[in-house]
Amino acid sequence: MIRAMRTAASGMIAQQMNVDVVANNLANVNTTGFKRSSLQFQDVLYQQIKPAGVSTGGTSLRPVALDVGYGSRPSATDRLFSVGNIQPTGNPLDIMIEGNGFLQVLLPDGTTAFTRDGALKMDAEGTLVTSDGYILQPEITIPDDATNISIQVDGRVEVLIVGDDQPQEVGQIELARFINPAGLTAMGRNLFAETAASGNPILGNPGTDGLATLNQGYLEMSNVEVVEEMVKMIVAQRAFEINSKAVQTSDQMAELANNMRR
Amino acid sequence: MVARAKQQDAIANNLANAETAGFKRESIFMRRLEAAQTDASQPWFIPLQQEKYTDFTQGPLDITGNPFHQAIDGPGFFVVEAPEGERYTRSGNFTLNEEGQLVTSDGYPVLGDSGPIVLTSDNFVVGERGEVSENGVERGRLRVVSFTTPQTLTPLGRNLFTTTEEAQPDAQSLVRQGYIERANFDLVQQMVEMMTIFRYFETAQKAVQIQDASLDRAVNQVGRIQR
Repeated sequence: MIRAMRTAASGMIAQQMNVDVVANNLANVNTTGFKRSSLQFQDVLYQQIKPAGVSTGGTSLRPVALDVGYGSRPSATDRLFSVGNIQPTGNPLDIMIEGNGFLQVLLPDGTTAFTRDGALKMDAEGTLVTSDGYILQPEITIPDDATNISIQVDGRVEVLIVGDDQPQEVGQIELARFINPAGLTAMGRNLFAETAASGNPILGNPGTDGLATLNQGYLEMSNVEVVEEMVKMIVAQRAFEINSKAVQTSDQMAELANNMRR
Repeated sequence: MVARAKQQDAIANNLANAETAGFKRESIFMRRLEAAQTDASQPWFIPLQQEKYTDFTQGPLDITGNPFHQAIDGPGFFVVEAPEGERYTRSGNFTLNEEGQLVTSDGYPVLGDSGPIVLTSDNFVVGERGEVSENGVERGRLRVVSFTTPQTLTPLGRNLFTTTEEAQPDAQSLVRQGYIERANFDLVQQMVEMMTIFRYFETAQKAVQIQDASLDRAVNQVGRIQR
């Protein structure tokens, strides 16, 4: 009976975490390049009361074991890397990756992080940076007399210099892809870090080697589906509720057992 | 009362797994031992034997749109290579590892006809018969197996089952990509079962109390010496 209480409590804890994940998805519904997660669950240990395959007298064997499970636990947060909605912004420094691939940025500690957030900015020297000021890798600097910045689908960055009618190439945006993007660690600030599970980044120019092309003047919104998240939240709440009922029932059973002696 | 408490444990486990992919409902039921029924010398002593039944019926399929999510429509199981050997699962929330192998959330490779399935991206299609192809290139076929007596399957936790029985290739089951199979029980039914168990438990408790009351009378009133 006490076990039933703990078992149901494990279900409540798991559903609580489910709501946490849903809440984070909903909070990031308007975050550029955000990828939604979903929590996955699994059952835990089973206590064997009677094992299968033992003799039940004579030559007959018990065909089925008698065992009771200890509840459930969250097993993984699956991040879905499908492309989010497209938002036209008209800003020449906004780029959208139209499929597989990540931009690379240099963190202050010297390591490289990966992002889908293509809302680029220029710093005082004209270097392309993210909204947090992290420098895009490979580094691209826009000359201060440039007028018209155009980013091609294959990642070439061209500018028009005052007094020159031919566009001039100032850099090439490179993308990284991973065999297992779901294995990346989310660092917050729209950044991901590589892990042993994601594999090493495979670098290349947009449009080659399985990497997607770029689209200037657009941003990728999150891939959160509000309706779906609402349904998940309702289901999680009900599952939480019914597990609380199992705790209550077990408690009442314990109370009855305690009151056997009047 | 002890037996009812066990049943309550089983229900609590079902409810805790309400959102576990591919979870199969279990129930514990009781039957009289046949020896006791025929032994007339001990009519008051009827031991109960507890048995477990796992309901392997199909759970509802939920669309997730994630290409790594596979659900089985039919009686089959996926085969995964756990550290302790081949194990079976209905929970198809797979992912890739750093080598590009299709694995479960615990990192156990999902087996195809010729070993683990190796992919290079999330741009792949799984056919109804488990054929995996990526950009038109065959990447193997997911093994789907079934068992003549599924009741012999023992749950191990981590959504895995094991059995002593030989697994047979299953031709009936269809693999659905982008779907997840939900737990196969009905909350209402589990709730009703829980209420019933509670009342049986209560009845048993009353029976013990009544027994206690008559013993009390026998000891303290029948045997009282009147002055």
